[in-house]
Amino acid sequence: MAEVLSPAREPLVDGDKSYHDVTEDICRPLEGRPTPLWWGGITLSSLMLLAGAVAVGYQCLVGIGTWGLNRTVGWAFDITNFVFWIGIGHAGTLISAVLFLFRQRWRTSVNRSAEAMTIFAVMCAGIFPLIHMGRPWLAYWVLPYPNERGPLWINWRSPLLWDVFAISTYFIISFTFWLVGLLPDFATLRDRAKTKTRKALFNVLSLGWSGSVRTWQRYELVYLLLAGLATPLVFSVHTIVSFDFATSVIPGWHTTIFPPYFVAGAIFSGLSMVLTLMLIARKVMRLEDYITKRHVGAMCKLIIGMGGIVGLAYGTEFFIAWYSGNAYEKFVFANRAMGPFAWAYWTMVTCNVVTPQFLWFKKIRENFLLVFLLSLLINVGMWFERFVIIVTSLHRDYLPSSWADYSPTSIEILTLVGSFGLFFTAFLVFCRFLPVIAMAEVKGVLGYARRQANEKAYEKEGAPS
Amino acid sequence: MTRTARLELPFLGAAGLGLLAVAVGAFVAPVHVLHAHLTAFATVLTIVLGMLFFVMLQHVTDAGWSVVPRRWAELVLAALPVMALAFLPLLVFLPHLWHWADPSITAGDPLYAIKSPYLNVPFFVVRAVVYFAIWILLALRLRGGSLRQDETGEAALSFGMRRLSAPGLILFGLALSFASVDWLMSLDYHWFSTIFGVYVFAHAVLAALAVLNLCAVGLGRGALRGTVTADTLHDLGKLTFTFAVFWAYIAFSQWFLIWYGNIPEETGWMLARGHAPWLATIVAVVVGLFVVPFVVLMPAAAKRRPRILVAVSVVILVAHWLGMVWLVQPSLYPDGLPLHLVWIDAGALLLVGGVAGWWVIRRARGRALAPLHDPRRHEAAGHDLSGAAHG
Repeated sequence: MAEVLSPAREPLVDGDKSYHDVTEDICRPLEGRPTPLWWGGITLSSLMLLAGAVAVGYQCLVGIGTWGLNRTVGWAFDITNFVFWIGIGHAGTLISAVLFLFRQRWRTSVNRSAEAMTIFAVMCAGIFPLIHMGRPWLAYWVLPYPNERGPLWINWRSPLLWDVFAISTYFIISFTFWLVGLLPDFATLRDRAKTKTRKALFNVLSLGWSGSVRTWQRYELVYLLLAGLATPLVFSVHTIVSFDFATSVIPGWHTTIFPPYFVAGAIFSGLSMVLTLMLIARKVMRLEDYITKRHVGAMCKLIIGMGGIVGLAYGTEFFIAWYSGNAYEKFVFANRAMGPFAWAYWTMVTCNVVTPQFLWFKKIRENFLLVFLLSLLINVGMWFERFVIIVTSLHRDYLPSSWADYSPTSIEILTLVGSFGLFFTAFLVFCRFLPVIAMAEVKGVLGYARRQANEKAYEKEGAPS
Repeated sequence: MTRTARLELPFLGAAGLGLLAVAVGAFVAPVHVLHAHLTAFATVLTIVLGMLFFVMLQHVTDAGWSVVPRRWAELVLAALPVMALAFLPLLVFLPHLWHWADPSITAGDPLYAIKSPYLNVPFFVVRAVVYFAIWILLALRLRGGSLRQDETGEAALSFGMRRLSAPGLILFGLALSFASVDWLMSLDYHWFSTIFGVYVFAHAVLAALAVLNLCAVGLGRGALRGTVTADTLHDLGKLTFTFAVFWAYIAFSQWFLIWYGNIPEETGWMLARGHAPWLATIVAVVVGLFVVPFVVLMPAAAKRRPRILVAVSVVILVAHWLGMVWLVQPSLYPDGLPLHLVWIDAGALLLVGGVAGWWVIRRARGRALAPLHDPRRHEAAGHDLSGAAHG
């Protein structure tokens, strides 16, 4: 079951837990009453959700003229939020699929909630294009089904249509992957259930899990295959999102590095959101032994790496804008750094390029309060990155006579608040009813299992020096 | 290590043969020789740089499985000074290759006027020195540290190399990106593409992995029988598969966005490489770098079969070279490589590859082919696949 691990590795889970301790620690909060902290949180997030719902209802009734868009800036707040939320989701898939294929054992403590985060983030993202259609009740028109509208047919050459497929595929696979991962834990909850209905419910959810060797073997095979299928999605979804911009001929949007740059940025922002959530969950749900400094440290290092790629992409874009000799390219980048939205640009650079550099220091990585604050800053920075890309490239185009300004209306801001409300409400409901940590997987990385494997391995050749 | 010593001769022979071809070629088609040499230089250098990336990646991720292959990559790093020497002839004949250095071409070109602060000979030379300094210094520390650990057994050396590798990767990324712009992209100095550095990087890592696969199979049957297992091949095969897909992703992104945007200032470079003979070349490259590894290495069993892995790796390496030909030669031959001169290209590759390979093997004399005291070596020796599923 467990591999040979070097003695140089620190244990992943603290507190010398036994298998039973894990089950108890993770299941008990689900079986009791929620804490006052949880009630406080869900009240706040539902209020935000409610405010957003009112704003969305108003937009649907009145139209998207309620936004601050104008002839020049035709895309702004909504698309920014859309890209922001889609990006957040990517860390979940990275942790659950890519790190699984790379056999990164530390993922076991965070993958469940990271995947949940992905699902909720994609839901939040979906809202914005839906509203932007203006008549959301006709949203099904983007789907290619046989119809009698004659020449009215979806435009296959538009990357916006590819988004529909990329994102719906992403949602379906992420959701399936998450549910499959939950199967053994559903079975644990079923076995512990005290009431008949609860038992029956979890029995259905666990698909009648029997726990036999054959069940486990099939389960692991399916999980591996799903991880393989989900991995391309980490790249494809944000690549398509980057095509929304890069296939145009607008300076600042049309650049070949966009696909990998967007993917790296998405993982970067997603990891910072995972950190934000996990550091809260760790305290609120008392998971200090499960989400340890090794997990946080690993995520911080990934953030440095992804931040480095993002920084390299910023630099490359700037350099090539100059090197191209194209006056419009040059202007867009100069305008970003020194024009009316310079404040947004420098917020982005500070948060995304400077902030992660603090994480080079182990002292800071192990100070969770600081890590939490830094992760919040990166979240802010990545939101601004999308805002900068979208708005600064549009607001001063080829014709100075059509230059315009943009500022969001209160309706737009409320919609953003509402999306955060939806995200946190969904996450809190998830924390309340489902195990936030993949029990079955964490049991595989406990020190207990590892010690036994190591003892066997070293018996033959003597302990390592 | 007499086995490896025996390999020195074929490499020297190849280099000699290559030298002959290049010397004759210098009389037949001197400018072609220069382009062929740049192609060979880029082909071999990217492999060595791919190795440098591989070593740093393994340190930074604290990987246990790759301790043994990492050593082969470390040994290859010895080729970097040879590559710096191989760059010198290119500098001597600079304007024949990079037209921005030819005043008769750039005279009155407003675009060159804009780019001249970057694209001028002194700065170009300074940058090349900086790139090589970065790579060679990193290589000295990483190769030297690992070999020293064989003698002293200090675990602290591993931690030191890990600390070096994180900032090292940043320097590596910057140097490789700008070197790609300087040496390959600026062959057509009007053209620009922000993803170009990533494209060359993808080439580099994929080709380096192909060489590591060959080492794994070769050494697994010889000096490292028992240390290199089917699991080692499986893991290397998976990474090869991954980077084949990564290369295709980057190559597609570049082509697709230029095609869709359809702006003349970008399409020129693609159009020059997208008709008749050059189109056939890039199709062959796509087959070799993506289609073959993707289809063949998909099943788990294929990755564990030495013969299949060798065959795929050879295909990748040939396609890697063709890919470099496709990047370099169209700037000299817009209508396709004259096939009666291909022997010059082959000769240049034999010369550069032969000397670099010979030097690597010579410098590997008496060195262990698997780290003796790496603190994670037990994980590499005992690593099995049960961990690939749940565990």
